Amino acid sequence: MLGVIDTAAGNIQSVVNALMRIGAAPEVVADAESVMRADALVLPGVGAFAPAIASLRERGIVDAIRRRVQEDGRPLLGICLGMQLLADHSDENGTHDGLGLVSGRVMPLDPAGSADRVPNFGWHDTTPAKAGTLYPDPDESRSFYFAHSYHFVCDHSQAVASTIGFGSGQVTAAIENGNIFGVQFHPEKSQDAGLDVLHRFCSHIGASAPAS
Amino acid sequence: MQYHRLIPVLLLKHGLIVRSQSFSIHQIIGNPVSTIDRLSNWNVDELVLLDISGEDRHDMRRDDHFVRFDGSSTLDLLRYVSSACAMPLAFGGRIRTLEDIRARIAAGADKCIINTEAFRRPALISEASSTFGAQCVVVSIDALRHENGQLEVCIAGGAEPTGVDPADWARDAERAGAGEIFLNSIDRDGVGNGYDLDLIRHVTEAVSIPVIACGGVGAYPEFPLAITEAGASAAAAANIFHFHELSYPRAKRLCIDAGVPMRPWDVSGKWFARDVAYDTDAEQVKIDDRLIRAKEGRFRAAEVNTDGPPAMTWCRNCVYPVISATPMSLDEDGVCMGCRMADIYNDIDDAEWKRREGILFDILDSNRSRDGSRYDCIVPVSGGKDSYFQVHYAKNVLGLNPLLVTYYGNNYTEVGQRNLLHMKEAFDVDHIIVQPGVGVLRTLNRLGFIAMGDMNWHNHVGIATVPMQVAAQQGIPVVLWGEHGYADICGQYSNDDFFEWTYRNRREHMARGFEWNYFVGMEGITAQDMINYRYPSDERLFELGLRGVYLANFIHWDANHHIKLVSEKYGFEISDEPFERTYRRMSNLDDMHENGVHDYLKFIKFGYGRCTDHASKDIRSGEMNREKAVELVRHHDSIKPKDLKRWLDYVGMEEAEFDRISDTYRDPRVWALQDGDWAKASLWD
Repeated sequence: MLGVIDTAAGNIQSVVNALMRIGAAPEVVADAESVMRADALVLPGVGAFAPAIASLRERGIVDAIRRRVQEDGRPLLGICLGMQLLADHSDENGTHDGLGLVSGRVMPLDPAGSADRVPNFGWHDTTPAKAGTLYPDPDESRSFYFAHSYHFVCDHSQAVASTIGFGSGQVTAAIENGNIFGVQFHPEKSQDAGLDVLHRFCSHIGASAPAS
Repeated sequence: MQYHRLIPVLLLKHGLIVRSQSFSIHQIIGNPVSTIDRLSNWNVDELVLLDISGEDRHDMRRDDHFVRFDGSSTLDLLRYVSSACAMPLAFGGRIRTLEDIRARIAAGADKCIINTEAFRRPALISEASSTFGAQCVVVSIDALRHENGQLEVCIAGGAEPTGVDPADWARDAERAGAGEIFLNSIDRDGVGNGYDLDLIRHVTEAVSIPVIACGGVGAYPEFPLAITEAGASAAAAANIFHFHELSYPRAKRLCIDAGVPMRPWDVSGKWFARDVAYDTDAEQVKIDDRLIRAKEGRFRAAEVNTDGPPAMTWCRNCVYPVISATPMSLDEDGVCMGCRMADIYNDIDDAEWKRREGILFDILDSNRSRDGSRYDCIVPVSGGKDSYFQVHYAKNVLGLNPLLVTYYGNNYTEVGQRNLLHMKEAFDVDHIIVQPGVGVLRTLNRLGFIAMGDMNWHNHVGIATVPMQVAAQQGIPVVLWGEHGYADICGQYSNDDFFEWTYRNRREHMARGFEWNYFVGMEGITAQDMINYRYPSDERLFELGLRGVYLANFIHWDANHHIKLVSEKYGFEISDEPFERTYRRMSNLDDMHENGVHDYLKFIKFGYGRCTDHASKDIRSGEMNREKAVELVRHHDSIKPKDLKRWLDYVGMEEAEFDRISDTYRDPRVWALQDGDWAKASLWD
């Protein structure tokens, strides 16, 4: 079962719709017990870091995710805020602990030295950092939809799957670290490019019908 | 580097998409799902959906359309449309509290657009921003430019002036935590003379958050200016995206060609194909359920209205009812958009007509064949009076060599058939008549009647498809249509829009959401049987730049004048026998059922018929007074026509079965069963 975790603050329906469109059969999971039953997990998220992690913690989902992903080795894909929640800490409105599944820290976007604006809304071409599941072709350059004010600074560069240019440097656009995946962009809102990425994740976990 | 965005804005009123002008005139374009489906085919950067209904009432009920929606609230609607939406979606309208925002995000919005309440209580912006993140909070500013040039923010749908400068308010909104500004110009709304670039610059210079510019776009080259000249992050518009085929990719291409960095357009989505994937089993269940209800006499209108028929409203000027088969709406004075648009149309002066004719000439001349390898344009003809006029104009006024194309639905009257075959002689032009096999037509007649209460689906879709197929096959870039039926009957568009033929309009309004493949597999229908109903691909349309233009936008269209001209000059014959369901003898000779069974079904569904259409048009053109119109409608609208017998024999159906199935389509907003008889409110009560 492919479980889409209900973060209680985001729009999970569009993620569910996108997964269904590519032939997967997602189920919404809202408690620790259902998280433990999932063969693979998608953690979507829109909104602020602190209330989202608090809501997961209250429902015992934080521990359930850690067990399922770290101990059982089940695949997980974090989307947007869902990717940031994978970090050790976030500096959004104070300092908060995250799931600690990927070493790193969530920090504010810094537009200095550019005409970029924060929040960063809109479409960027991502540059793959390595070939893998999300980006089989390291030369692939496609645009995805971003809507964020913070970004994930990974402690280990091997975890970074792709980046975008922002301000005077590069920020993490996707993460791929063993069984843990994350995308800062919204694949469910990125039409063909985004659905291709979801389809690659789902094919990897065996949850999707072949591309038509 | 971030791409700039090109954003279509959909305005929703009571569940339907409207065209807006001056924040006050609203014409119904159609169902939002049809439009969102269409936009999904093209890599649209983002979609803005603004609910401008004054109250939370949404009504898209149409039992005879494929897209059915029975919800009645904003949230129902948002859930419904967001399920079709694979692009970022910003939603606005009547958002007052954090709970309103939470509910909209849960229902599918990625961002919420706040206008009046943000101005009245800026704390809402900060609360929303800290709860949901600034990227969720868009503050919408409606700015009015006064005659002295001064700018002022207006709230409450533009109705309430505030005395505040838009740049000052934008700055405050940014400080309060807004993630983005959606800036609209009230005085440019729907006018089509371009963005107010000074207004946009005024605001973009005041803030560092992104600004979406909206209001006034009348031509694609105006889009890039909001970005390159005025510093906007995104260029948005509402009306213009409804007016042309492939509007979004065409506008996008223009922006990119102008040097604005934008994501490429797409006309061949992999995960979002244009064809509908029907669930054939589920559709068969729906059809079977209807047949069972018909058999058992369970009619929705009878079950809903146990206390007699609901009240009805008609246009105060013509005789059109507000619940209708067309996208009809009334303004605050109770006058319909059909009448309003006819007034504007009739007021166009000779100089303006001359200018318009010049525009048409340029379109046709720039697309004519230079080397003689193809025809200059296509004129779709049924052989009716309008067809004669179109060909007269193309051939003998403009001097073009058109190819005539006809879909032959096998329902011609004798006179209609003579008129059709006479065209090649009267005009000395080539004429392709596509005649589908009669066995398939019989099946499509029957299936169309059962599935959507319209036996003429094949005819409407065939007429709307075959000429475009021939154009695509032969590489002819212009198809010259006569008038746009709904623009004429219910003022769906303004003629100033120079709206053109679109697949979206064909899908929703001619096909009722039922594409060719809906029928494949039913009663032995194969994909090959449906070739005449398959529209050319978007890739082909884009590559050829195929346009369908309406003659009525460029020259004064007057049916009563045309009939004289084509009868005297080209030998067009009018009917020797009157129709039962209308007093006009010059219309619909190409199809004996169009004024007969087909139109009777409109009466069964909505309580009015062709006579109402014709009388309303004649009132608007000054040929008839309302009293006379009411008398004619009273006489004609309810008549059960004699051609029904031919149709029943043709498809092999008993009259009683026809009646029972028809009754399942009676609209509960119109009909009730009273003492065993169907009853409705009437114009003459």
